[in-house]
Amino acid sequence: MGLALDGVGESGLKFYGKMCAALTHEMKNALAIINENVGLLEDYNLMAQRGTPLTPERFSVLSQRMVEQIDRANGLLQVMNRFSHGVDEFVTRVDLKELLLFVSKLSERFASVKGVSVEVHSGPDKAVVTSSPFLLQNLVWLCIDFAMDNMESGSVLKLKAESTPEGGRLTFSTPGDLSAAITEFCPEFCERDLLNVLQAGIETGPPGDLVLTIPERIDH
Amino acid sequence: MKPRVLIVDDEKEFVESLSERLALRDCDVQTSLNGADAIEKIKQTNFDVVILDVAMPNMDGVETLRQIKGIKPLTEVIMLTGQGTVETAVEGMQLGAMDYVMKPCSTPDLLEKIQKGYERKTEHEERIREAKVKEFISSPQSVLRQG
Repeated sequence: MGLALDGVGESGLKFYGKMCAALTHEMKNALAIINENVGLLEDYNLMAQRGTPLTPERFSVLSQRMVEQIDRANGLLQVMNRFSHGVDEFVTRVDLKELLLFVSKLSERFASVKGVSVEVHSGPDKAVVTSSPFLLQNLVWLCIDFAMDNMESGSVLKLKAESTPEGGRLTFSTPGDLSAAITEFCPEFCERDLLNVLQAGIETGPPGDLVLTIPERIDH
Repeated sequence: MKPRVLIVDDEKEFVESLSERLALRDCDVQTSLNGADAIEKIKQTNFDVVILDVAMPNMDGVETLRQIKGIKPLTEVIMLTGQGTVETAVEGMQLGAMDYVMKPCSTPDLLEKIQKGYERKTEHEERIREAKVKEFISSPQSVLRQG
């Protein structure tokens, strides 16, 4: 169990660091846009003082851009805050569709860099399990990252959460076949420890999908 | 002559605002929202300085830099990074980028680097011209050999 926790700890720290780095990178982009628009405002002010006629629309464009970027930065901070609170309770009730939506939000920058878009779907019944939200987020991210590494730019990664008699099922579908890649992925990946701690299963579905099975409740 | 500057970044609002600010400061500015478009523009126009974002979808800043240096080795490149560390910017400088700036960037600092890049490129081109003139004077037939 000690070894398993070491693997989980290492994977969790890497995941936490990677997500924080991506979110803060995005925040810097928002701040950079605000910075340039504040600079433009100063430029316009100087131009006006020198007698250059300026229309109110020019100021309106700048303020609109800044409001949009403040909203963007605020949204990123909310995601980061929620992510940080993911470790408040080690085990709690987790809505699997909400989990997919949240991790896809965390993955936005990575998906954008790879030119991939992510869609989240769900089955007819709400899938809720008692598990570790942070470790589930970590596992879902690893599956998203793996799927994106095996996708062409411009394609869509479809995520689906479904309720099952045993708990829940998460499916990762790409236009290609992930089954060949998974044989390469699974034996090596230290996240096998993560699967063990979450008592989750990983398999490939009929069209080459990646499927995670999550128990209704984990023992801890 | 105005420095010819190309800004390459996938953040449209950033590119628009920065290009307006540089144009107000007497730069001749064009913009690109991705590496592939930047390469096409660089093939068509002899830019003095390219301000190049490190993290872009599809073709990233480092790959774009490699291609720029393959097409126009004299064009000076300033890497633009939104990351907290300078690792990628340093990699860029090892591949021939002149310098880097971190987002959000200070305009006087960026302008100073643009001016430095412009002067370096102009000086480099001048040296090449002088070398060609010297070669012509010493051997007029060399012009014919060059076709």
